[in-house]
Formats: sequence, C-alpha cells, structure tokens
Amino acid sequence: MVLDLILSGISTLKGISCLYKNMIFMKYKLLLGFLFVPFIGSAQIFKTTQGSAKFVSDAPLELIQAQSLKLSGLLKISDKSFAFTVPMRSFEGFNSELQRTHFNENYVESAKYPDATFEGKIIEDIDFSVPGTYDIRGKGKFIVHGVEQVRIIKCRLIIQNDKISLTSKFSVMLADHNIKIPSVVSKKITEEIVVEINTTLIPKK
Amino acid sequence: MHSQIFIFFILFIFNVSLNSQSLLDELNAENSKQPDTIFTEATFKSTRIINGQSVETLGKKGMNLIISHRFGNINSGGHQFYGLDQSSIRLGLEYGLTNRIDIGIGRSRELELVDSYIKLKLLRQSSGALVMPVSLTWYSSMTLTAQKWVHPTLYYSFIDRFSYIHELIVARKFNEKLSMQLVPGLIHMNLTETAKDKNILPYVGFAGRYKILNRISLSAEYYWVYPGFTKAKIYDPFSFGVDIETGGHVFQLHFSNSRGMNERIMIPENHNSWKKGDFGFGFNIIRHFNLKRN
Repeated sequence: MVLDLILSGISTLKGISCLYKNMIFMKYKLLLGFLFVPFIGSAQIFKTTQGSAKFVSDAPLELIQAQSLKLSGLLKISDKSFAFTVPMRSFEGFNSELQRTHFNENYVESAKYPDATFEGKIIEDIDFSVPGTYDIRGKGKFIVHGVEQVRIIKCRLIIQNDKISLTSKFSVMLADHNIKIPSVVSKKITEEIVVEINTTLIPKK
Repeated sequence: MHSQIFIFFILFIFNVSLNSQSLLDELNAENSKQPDTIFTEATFKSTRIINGQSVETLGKKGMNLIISHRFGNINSGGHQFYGLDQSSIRLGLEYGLTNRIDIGIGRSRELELVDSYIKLKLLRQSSGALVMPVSLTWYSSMTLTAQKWVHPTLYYSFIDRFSYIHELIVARKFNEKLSMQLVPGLIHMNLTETAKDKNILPYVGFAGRYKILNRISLSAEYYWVYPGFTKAKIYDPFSFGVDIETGGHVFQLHFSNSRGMNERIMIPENHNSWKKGDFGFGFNIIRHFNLKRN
C-alpha cells in the first residue's frame, strides 16, 4: 500500500502523461493531488545551458566554420513549447580573429542584436514518458540579426529516462535575415549557411 | 472522478500562471543570472590610427602588410603638382605572436629609418560579469637611422643611430560608433639634432574615430609634444582622415602635417605647421593575412 503510493509518486514526477496513465494513482484521494501537482509542474521543464551550435559557410573560395558552446534552451513538456537562444559573440573558430571581429561588427551586428533565438512549439504529438528516438518538427519564430522568420525546423529527439538529446541540421538564408554580403567577398561567403545544433536537456530544478 | 477534475483544475491554474510569461523571457531571465563577460572588439579598424599606433593588436597568427605613402605639402605649388610629385614611403610588416602580443618591423624612406616594435595588450575593455572600462596596450619601439651621417668627418658610434619609443595606449569604445584613445609616451634619442636638444622628449597623443557606416569611419589624431626640448621649432602633428574596410584590407586616406610614419620622425622631426598650410595627402594600405592553418 505505502510502496504503491511512493511508486506512483515517483512515476508522476517523470512527466505529466504518467499522471493520466497511472490508474493506481487515481485510487488515492485529493490530498495526493495537492502534494504532487507542484512537483510535476516544475519537473516538466527541461533545460540546457551548454549546448553546441555550429555553422558552416562553404563558399567556392573559402570555408568558414564557427561553433558556440553557449546554446541555452527550455523545453516545456506540458504544451510542447520550447525556447532556445545563443549569443552571437560566443561563436569561436573562423579562419582568423579579424574574421570573427567582422562577423560581429559588420554582418550579424552583435552589439545591436546579441542573440539568435528560436521559440515555438513541437508540431507532432509525442509521449515524453516513453524513451526512444523521435523525429519531430518545431514550428516558431526564428530570429537572427533582429529579423524574425516563421520556420519549421526538423529535429531528432532521443528521450532517455532523465534526459533528452536534441540534434538538428538546417539552413539559414542570409538574405532572409537582412545580412548583406558585399560583392567583393561574394565568393567567400555563401548565401546559405548550414547550422547544426547538438545538445542534451535535463530536468530543470 | 472528482479527484481527476480537481487535478485538471489545479494544473490549469498552474499552467496559466506559467504562461503569463513566455518561455523565451523565462530563458533570458535565467541566463541573465549568470552573465558572460563580453570583451569589446574593434575599438579601431586597424592597428594604426593614421601615423600613430592604435590600441588594437592583430590576434594570433594574424599578419599585416602595411604600405604607407605620404605626399608632399599641398602648398608646394603647381611645379610640384601640389605635393603629389614628392613621396615618402614606409613598408611595414607586423605579426601577432599571441592574441595579445604583436611584433613588427618597418622601413621608411625618411632618415632611411628602420623600426621594430612590440605591442602588448595588457587590458581588454569588457562588460558583463567582468567590467573593465578601458583597453590598455603597451607599445615599445626601437629604431635605427640608417642614412649616411651629415658630417662624415665627425666621429659617431653605431649606437648613436638608435632611438627608443615607449607608449601606453589607453582606449575606450564608448559605443558602436565612437572610440577614443589617450597615448602618453616618450622618445629617447641617443643622438639629437643639436647638442642643446634633450635626449628624452615626452608627448601625449589623442585619437578618435567615428563610424559613419559599418565599413567606413572617420579618424583623427593629435600629438601634443612637450615644448622647449628641441632647439629647432617643431610642430605638433595633427592628422585626420577616413578608414575604409573591405574584408582583408583597410584603406586609410588622410591629410597630415607630419610625414613621419613612425614616432621617431613624427615627434621630433616635424617642421610642418598647419597654420602655414604645410600639410599633405597620404594613405596607408593595410593588407591582412592570416597564417592560421584551417
């Protein structure tokens, strides 16, 4: 009896959907609801703070790559909403220090538009309580260089017991975000930048 | 079933309270609890303002080839094509050993001067977690005057050809457009022009830039030279111009009353006065190379 109660309590912590599935839980009184609902509420947000965001510009004359390890994000299980952000100044790599400076100064204008963000909801209905690999699409507002685009971005989620790994590869058109390339360097920077995201989300305390 | 309804109700209230704030706001609020240090970049477009040094260093394995030209004074008249017939050149090469240390060499036509220098970036302006109001760079140079002695019959030793320059460059980028720098410095000459001249000459430089477009900025520099240390009348160098940046190049076009492209000529040997109209056109072409292997 007591064991049942504890077990059901633990399973409810893992996700809101457990709550509806777990019929044992329903046998108990209102009191239990009071006790656990706040916990469920806080455990249903997953977060990441040190995710990786990489981008590649593969132009005929120059290959430029940079990576940030400062991608942060929140994923809310209850309504499948998410928000991710990465500071533009945290990108490292490039082919020279000067190029990194130019990236921040002249192209993405990091002082004016410090972050790239993606905020929205997952289209597919998935059960976060079931471990496995899911290919999903996130739809929302994608903002780079202060220009907002509504995007649907494909992601792969690998759900494990206490963490969710997220990987995604998509492209960003510079013209969509009003990032202008001077004709002098048009063969050194591509119009289409390939972005790769790789991160692991853990329950937020 | 009552309990089920009640739980839904509780959840509903809970969700409403959470949704009043967007998830992105929540994320930003979370991130701002642990702010990063943001180091200020590109206080100036290049390692040079016009004639003098800027606070910038090249970055590791960066290399600059600097080709500088100074034409004659505009008031030299039509027979000199308003100064364009005369030209003085300096070729320079500088290299970033680390992100904070640069070394460089150059050779000027004036005095057949060979200069070598080291620049150390001591402090970087930053905001966020770590706040530093200014950037600070130490600059030291040693120059060799290679031209033939004016009086070859007199005895001079080789060491007399050397001069030394030390500067502390303090700079602040006030906003995306405006940057200013203050340069207290001194020059020591082993051999001066006359016996009455002092060997050490202190000076203070002021420089600034204002960005008018992303890749174009206006710049100016003025060096106040401590008066009375030289027998010949010397004038404070003042220059202004425009910087145009095109990826790997920075073009600096300017007017100046100084034809020196190194402090050794610019400070103690500047006999041109703006008041008399002694100023000329000049340019620096700074080509950036990157020796980092990908």
